[in-house]
Amino acid sequence: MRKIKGFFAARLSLFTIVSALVIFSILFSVFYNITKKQNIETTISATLSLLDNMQLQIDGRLSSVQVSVNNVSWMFDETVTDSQKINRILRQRLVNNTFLESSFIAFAPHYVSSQGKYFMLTAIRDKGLIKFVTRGDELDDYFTRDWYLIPFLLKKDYWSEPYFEGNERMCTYSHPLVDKKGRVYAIFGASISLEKFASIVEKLQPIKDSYSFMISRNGYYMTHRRRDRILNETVFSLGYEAKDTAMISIGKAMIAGHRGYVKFNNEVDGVNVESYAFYSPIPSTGWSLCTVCPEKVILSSLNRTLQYIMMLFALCIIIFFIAMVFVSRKLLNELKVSTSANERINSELHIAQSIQMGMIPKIFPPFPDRSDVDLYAFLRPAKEVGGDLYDFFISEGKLYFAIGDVSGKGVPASLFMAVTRSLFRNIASQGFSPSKVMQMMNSSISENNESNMFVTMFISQLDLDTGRLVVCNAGHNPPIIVHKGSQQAGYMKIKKNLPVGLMPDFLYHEEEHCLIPGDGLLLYTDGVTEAENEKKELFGEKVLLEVVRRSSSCDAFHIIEAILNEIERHVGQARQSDDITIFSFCYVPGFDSYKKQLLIENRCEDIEKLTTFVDELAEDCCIDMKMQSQLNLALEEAVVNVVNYAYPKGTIGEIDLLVTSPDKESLTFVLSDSGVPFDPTKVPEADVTKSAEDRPIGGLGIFLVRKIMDSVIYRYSNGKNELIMKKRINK
Amino acid sequence: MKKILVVCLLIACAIYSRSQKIVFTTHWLPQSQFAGFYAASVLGFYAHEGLDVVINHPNANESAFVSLKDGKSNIVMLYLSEALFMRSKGFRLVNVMQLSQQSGLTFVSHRKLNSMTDLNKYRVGIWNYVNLELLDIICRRWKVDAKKIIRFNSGINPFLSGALDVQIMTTYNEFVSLRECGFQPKYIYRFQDWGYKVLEEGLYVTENFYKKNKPVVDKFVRATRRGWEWANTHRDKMLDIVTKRMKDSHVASNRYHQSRQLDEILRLQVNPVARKRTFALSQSDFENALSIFQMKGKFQYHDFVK
Repeated sequence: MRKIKGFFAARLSLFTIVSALVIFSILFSVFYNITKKQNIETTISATLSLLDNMQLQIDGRLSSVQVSVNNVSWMFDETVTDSQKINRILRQRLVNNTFLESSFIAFAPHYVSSQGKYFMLTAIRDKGLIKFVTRGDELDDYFTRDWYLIPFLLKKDYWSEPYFEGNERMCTYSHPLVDKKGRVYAIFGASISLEKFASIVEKLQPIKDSYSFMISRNGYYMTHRRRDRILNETVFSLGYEAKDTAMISIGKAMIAGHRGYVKFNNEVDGVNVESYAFYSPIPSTGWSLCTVCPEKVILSSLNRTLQYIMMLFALCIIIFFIAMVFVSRKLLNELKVSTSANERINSELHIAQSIQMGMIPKIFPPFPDRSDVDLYAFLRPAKEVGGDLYDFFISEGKLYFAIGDVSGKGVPASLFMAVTRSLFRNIASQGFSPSKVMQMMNSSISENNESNMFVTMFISQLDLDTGRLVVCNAGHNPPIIVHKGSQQAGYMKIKKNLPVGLMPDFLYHEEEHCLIPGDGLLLYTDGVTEAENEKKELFGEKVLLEVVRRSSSCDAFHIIEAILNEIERHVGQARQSDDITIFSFCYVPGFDSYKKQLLIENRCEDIEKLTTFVDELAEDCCIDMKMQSQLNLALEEAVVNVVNYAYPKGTIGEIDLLVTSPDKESLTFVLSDSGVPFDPTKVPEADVTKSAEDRPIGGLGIFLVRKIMDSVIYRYSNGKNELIMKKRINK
Repeated sequence: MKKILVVCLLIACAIYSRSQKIVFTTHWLPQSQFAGFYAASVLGFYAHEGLDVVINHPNANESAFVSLKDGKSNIVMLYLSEALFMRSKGFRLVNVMQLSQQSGLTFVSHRKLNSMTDLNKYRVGIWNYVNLELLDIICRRWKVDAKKIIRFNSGINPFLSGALDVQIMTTYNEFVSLRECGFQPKYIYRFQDWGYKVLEEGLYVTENFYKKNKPVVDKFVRATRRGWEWANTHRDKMLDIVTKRMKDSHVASNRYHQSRQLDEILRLQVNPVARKRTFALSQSDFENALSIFQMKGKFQYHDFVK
């Protein structure tokens, strides 16, 4: 158990931590991407600013060269060809601008006729001194050189492509001098060393591990951290050799004089490094500056922060994990205690259920020695214990049965039910009528009902000999009464009294009914009619009645089985919400052991058939002559009464006389007709003490019937008058 | 590579005492254009033939022909045009080996040219070292005003700066430089497409030297041929030798440029008819050149080509 608990705690902690990790990863990823973008944008802006600053520095130096040359070009008037005078001007250039390495003027062929085809004067700085050199001959044909030819042809200033002079990178600025006719007669210019530029650019390192370089107008490296590339390689020669299209694109943007940046894969020692190239042009010369920064360096500070956060997070996760395991274990202990308590309560509830179920009779058939009682009951609580009850017993030839439903559910209802059932059993067994039983129970329960609970009850007392049924209903659902093998069934119309337990002095009324063999009664609680399906639709009284009517026989068990099946079908997967209790009873005193029927019409001549019918009955049941004539007399009176009064004059109606005898010790006659409802038992009995003249007409027939028969009961059921007469034979 | 060099050095040392010294002058600065000569020298092919060959390179203002004329060189490399012109002037030189079998000369232009005469409309640049008289002959042939031709020293800057509209270039050098500078030429006109099929890159000696040293010349030609054949089959190693030579001579360049140049030079050496390297000037190419320069009948093929 300890191992399982540890495993569960670890699993719970792991699940929580993984969830936390996922959430953290998403949040951190968003944060990182935003910060990364900001970092890169900041670096781009800062690096481009640095390059702009560098470009301004270089441009400033180059401008000073241009100014040094251009500002004095007016002094070389086309007539000035005096070497000494020219040398003074050239010298002054070097004195005024220490940045210049040399200053020169090269005249067009034969411009100075005294000097021949070539005439070029140069002032050169040499170890702190200024030397003067005269150049130009067949072998040093300066007219074909770029610094002369290009400005000469274009008639505009020209910065030459950088070149090596010894180990020094040099560059020459040329300014064409134009005569009045617009012809170039000389090129005046100066040369500078690029070494100072180079060192400035080479030192430009905006970020650690970044490097800067400068390329010429034609793409030649003027500066580079790899010296062997300077003036040997171009961005394109390297790009084409390495088949590096990114480098070629960068080169094209740079020589086109663009300012900007691009992300690319920079191959460093055979390894591709994601990098940014920032470039800015130097407009005066067409050169371009570039700084290359590896992306990981740009993001190094961010990545360091990321590492710290990750480490901190890992630490937090470990602490969190330990705390989670600890808390989980504690909670599991509490859960274990709670589970034990729950298990104990469940166990006790099971016991309570057994006890409760033991209170109600559950052995069926309950009276195996009796053939006149067919009884079955079913109770299923919604929870372990419930508030429904039923009970029955036979005392002195009378069957007492009751059904009840306590308000509420669960344990309180079950305790209330136990009390109710005990009271019923104790009081009813003393032979009281149902209303008296109900009243006594009500008084007893109401007196100590502090919890204000109540119970709806239906109590019946059936005289098994006569079929006389006395019922009292205390707010319970009306029972269904079934006649003759469920061929006819309907809700019993009965007055509802108050439920038991509400009003201590309430006066309960009872009602009397008569059951004939084959009749039955179905009692139930509201758990049946209010059984809900998943759509919250109720099972309903109508459906219940239909199920009972569909049942083919008067069999208590099968009726209940049919009802339960129908409920199950209706409810489906829905949970049972209320206790379900059904009590079914069939009164079958010798039903079907002997049965004889006479069907006649309301014609006088048919009355003769009755005599034949009684003769046959007497023979069948070994009835003596005296009894036979008595029965003949009583039945004739009853039938004549129907023939004369039941149907309106001139109409033909049926009269049905059914006789049954379960044991050949008694006969039950049911005389039924569909005529005008009429209860002959309510007719006042004839005063036989008076003379025939003094007596009022009528009443003598029913008097005879009552006199001869042991019991006479009338009922009107399903549109029929039924006169039920019973007579014991063979006493 | 080191092993090869050591072996070659040993062979060279072993036979130094009895080898004959030959001075050979190319017609330009060190580059892949002369790869076969470096291979023959470095790999000991010359030494194997008993020759001690010195390879000289003139600078931009010097001429290989002058070097031959002045007796400073025994063997020189010249364009056929220059050689024929000098021969027509009476200088008795003979062709002992013809390397290029196709012309690598082109005009690269910023503008479209419909014919040679369109050159008169634009600023056209020709190398300064091209003989003026020869240029006159060529210009007359195609009705171009030679006086308008602008002479420049070298490189591609005059063209790239826009100072020249049209510039002469070789397919193996300046043309590669254009690409190296990120420039994509739009209009390229090959000389041979315009009827000027005069081959470059032949080896020449004076007739007198040839008569006296025919076996030596043959050895030189044989070893040189071997050098070029090795260069063709070992291009990467060849480039190592070339770049080292250039570095030693302080000539600026890069491996990409030399690689493209070597490929192009080797391509130009393949005779389009024979479809192989013949290393010889064919009579038809000789006659064709004479016809272009209007020198037919002035001298015979067998007198000029040995």
